Amino acid sequence: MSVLSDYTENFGVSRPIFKLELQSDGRSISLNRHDPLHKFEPTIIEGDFLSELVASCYKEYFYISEGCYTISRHDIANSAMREIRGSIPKFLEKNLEMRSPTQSKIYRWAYRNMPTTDEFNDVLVMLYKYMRSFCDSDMKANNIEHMKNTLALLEAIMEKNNEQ
Amino acid sequence: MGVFDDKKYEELDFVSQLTRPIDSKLNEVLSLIPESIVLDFDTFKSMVGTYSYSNDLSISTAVDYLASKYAQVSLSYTERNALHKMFRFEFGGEDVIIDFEQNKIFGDIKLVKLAETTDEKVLESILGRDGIDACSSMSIYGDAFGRANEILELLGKSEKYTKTRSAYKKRDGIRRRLVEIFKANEWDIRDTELANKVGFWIRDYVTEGNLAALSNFCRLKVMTHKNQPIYSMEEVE
Repeated sequence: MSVLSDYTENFGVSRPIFKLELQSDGRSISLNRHDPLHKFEPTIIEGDFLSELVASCYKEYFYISEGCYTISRHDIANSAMREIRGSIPKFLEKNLEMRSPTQSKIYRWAYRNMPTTDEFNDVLVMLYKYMRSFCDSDMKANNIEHMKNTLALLEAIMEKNNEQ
Repeated sequence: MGVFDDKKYEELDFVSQLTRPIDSKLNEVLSLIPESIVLDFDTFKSMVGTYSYSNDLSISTAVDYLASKYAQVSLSYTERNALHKMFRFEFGGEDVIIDFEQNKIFGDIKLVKLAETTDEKVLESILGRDGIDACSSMSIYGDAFGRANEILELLGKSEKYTKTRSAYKKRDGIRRRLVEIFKANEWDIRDTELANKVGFWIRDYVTEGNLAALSNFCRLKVMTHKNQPIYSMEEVE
């Protein structure tokens, strides 16, 4: 997961400058913390799916009492990792040629029993990068060879994990 | 001064005695708050900052802050709701920008007072409300059952609540009867602070057996037979 954390190194925050909105009856004033005048947008490296994923998990928080935006790089990396872990069962659901792919052994393993160690997470990150090179954002494969290759890889990983 | 004398009523001029306006500290609080206040950055942040997860500033919050600043009083929820109708925010110009880097507001925000006195109808609606809320949360068990019945008898029109063995229904009966009394102005209490005390005396007597509270409640009840509005009474501590 340190790979994901590396993408967050250059993340900044929005400038805490807002346009105030007055309710039509004059009863309250609000500021939209999701819409500051100078919003920070994380840079996406073109062609880098991990960069795109981490950027989509970017989240900043603003509290008036603190007067500034804050981010948690750790939380952003964790959020990206959760998306990657979720992409595996999604890939299986979209690409297994079965009537009920969610009932398969491999799907249930991917949905519930994948290890949560750092080493395994690193493997998933690399696998995700590979999968996104031939899948759309919905994890539907557009290359059968690569899709079968990935299914075989996942089966092997599952078997090895079950042996342990 | 006699035990049942109403000193405040006797000091009223002839016209006030006839018109019987409701006396409330809210009018005094209102008079101490300026007609128009420009909110600078520090004031804005102080007003909102108490509720650190909120990014909105409501009139209620602003009024609470101003009452504390100009009148050195803390308002109850009911009082805040009554006063917030007397104010409005206004923007000077189109865009008002708040900058937390420079700690500045660009543009004008004003809090404008709409009236110098609180509307009589608003004051009527809040008479006794804080005291009723206090009664709504009182615990009735053990000896408190008997004391609750005594109060229900003094309040009158409460036979079905004195007969019940349910603490919840007794408490509800006291609450309902108080709401009725103030809504119909049965006791003609014309001071909001005194009206609120009724509920607090009842709570203190029922839950703790506080005899001073009972004595005050009974004195007030006697005064309701004088057929004149009640503004004040001599209390037992």
